[in-house]
Amino acid sequence: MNRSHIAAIAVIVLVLGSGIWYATRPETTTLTVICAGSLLASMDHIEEAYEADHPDVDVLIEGHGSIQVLRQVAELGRDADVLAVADYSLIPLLMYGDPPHSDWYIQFATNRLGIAYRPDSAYADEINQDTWYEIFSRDDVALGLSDPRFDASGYRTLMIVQLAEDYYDDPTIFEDIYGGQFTTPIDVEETPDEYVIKIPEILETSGGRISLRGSSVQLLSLLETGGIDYAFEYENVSEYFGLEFLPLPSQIDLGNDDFTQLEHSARVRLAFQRFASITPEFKAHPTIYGLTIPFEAPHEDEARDFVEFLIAGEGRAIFKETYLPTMDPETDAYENLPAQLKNLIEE
Amino acid sequence: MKRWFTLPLIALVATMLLTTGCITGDGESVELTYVGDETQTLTLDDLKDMPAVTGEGGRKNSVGQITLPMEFTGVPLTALYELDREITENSAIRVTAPDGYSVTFSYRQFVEGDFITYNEQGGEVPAGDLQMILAYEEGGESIPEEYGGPLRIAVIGPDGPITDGHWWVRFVSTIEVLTMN
Repeated sequence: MNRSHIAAIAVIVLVLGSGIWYATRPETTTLTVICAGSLLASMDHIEEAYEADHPDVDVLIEGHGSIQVLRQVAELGRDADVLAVADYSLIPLLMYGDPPHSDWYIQFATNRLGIAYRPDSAYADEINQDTWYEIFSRDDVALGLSDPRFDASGYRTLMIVQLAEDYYDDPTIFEDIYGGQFTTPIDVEETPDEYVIKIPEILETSGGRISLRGSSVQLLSLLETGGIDYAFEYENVSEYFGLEFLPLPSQIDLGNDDFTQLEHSARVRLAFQRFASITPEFKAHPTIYGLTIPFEAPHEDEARDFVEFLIAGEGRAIFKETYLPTMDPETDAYENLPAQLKNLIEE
Repeated sequence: MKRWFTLPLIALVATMLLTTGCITGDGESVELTYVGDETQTLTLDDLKDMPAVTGEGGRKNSVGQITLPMEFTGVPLTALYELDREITENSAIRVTAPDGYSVTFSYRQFVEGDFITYNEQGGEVPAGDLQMILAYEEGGESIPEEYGGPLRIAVIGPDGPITDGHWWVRFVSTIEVLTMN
């Protein structure tokens, strides 16, 4: 046998070996998880941990605003395996319609809004729970606002500032901070038990103190680079990015239902139809994250495994490590849950 | 010409015409509802008869992911507005997709091109000259549905600006000319 025969045999063995390996290799499933932007920091770590435990699964994480997360399936017809949003109440609103795309959700984590800033932000040495709203009305303080037309943290910020009037017993807080700052003002209607905050169709700044951005995530870079002094941010996002964080009183931070102790509740109403499928009104309620698996999920088995990992497995620990408080999972429709998940939730 | 040759030839020619859009005529299949003082329907051919501009633009979504600039061609929103009435500082344009998603653009946006712009790393940069168009071509081709076509909003400029993705309304089906109070 000469060298050329040996080389030929080696090539044949290599080709056959490669073919056998290719035919018998474990197939990889791509699991599409679409989630709220404020979950992304945690989800990056969860993706890594889950893939290490499940080498046959490639988790693809995609972030959007919460309404957009659900629209991907409900209105745009995209395939997704797991949907997770920063406001559980959006799931029945957008997913239980006709045709339905899901019939259950699981609440799995909470959050609260507070004030993010830098150590060198204007008046940082003065700010605390009793002074923030007065500091925010000063002419030389630059504030960021996430656009309430596009982002849940934007309309929740306006609710917080309005609820602060009841908590601090000061009826001018909202006007002192936002008055004269927009070409068309944000009007507030007061009823005996509720403030209705009306967002105009065109929201443009004019006073020079407010910087409006499309999402709270975009305010982070502005804050880090000194473009603004303060912004309302979710606690987990602020902590994860190493910013100073001032918690607000629990009655106004929308982290729980303590705001019901105040004289008024709050509601934000858009002056126009933003999406065909939802009434453009958002009522104040606690910030609780919810998830679901759409009926159309291409990989139901893997989706159930991933949800179990999130709410009862290592994912729960990762949420805590990345500053997102978890809660005992709760559901709105125990009877509709997949059997695998029923074991993890009290009926 | 024998029938066995004629029929396949006709089929071949018809197939070629269909695939090149000559029979279906994209202009016939694309309809835009235009709401001014009166409501009318504009086809793609109607839009292509209007002054066209070409330029590059990219977008950044709400969590910071960037779609790098591509070349878009379409009709400036200012030209669409002026089909119905003269532009003033109270002018605005509402753009709606079939699923009800709608965005209203102010005078500062659709006339002056007032948008936040970003570099490819996502950091804010000073804006150059920006223009809003109703785009019907991306990279010289019709915009496929998976890229938000056949009609979508694009914000373009000579330097390929990157702007917020929520302004780039996809599947545009209706344009309303507004005068705000």
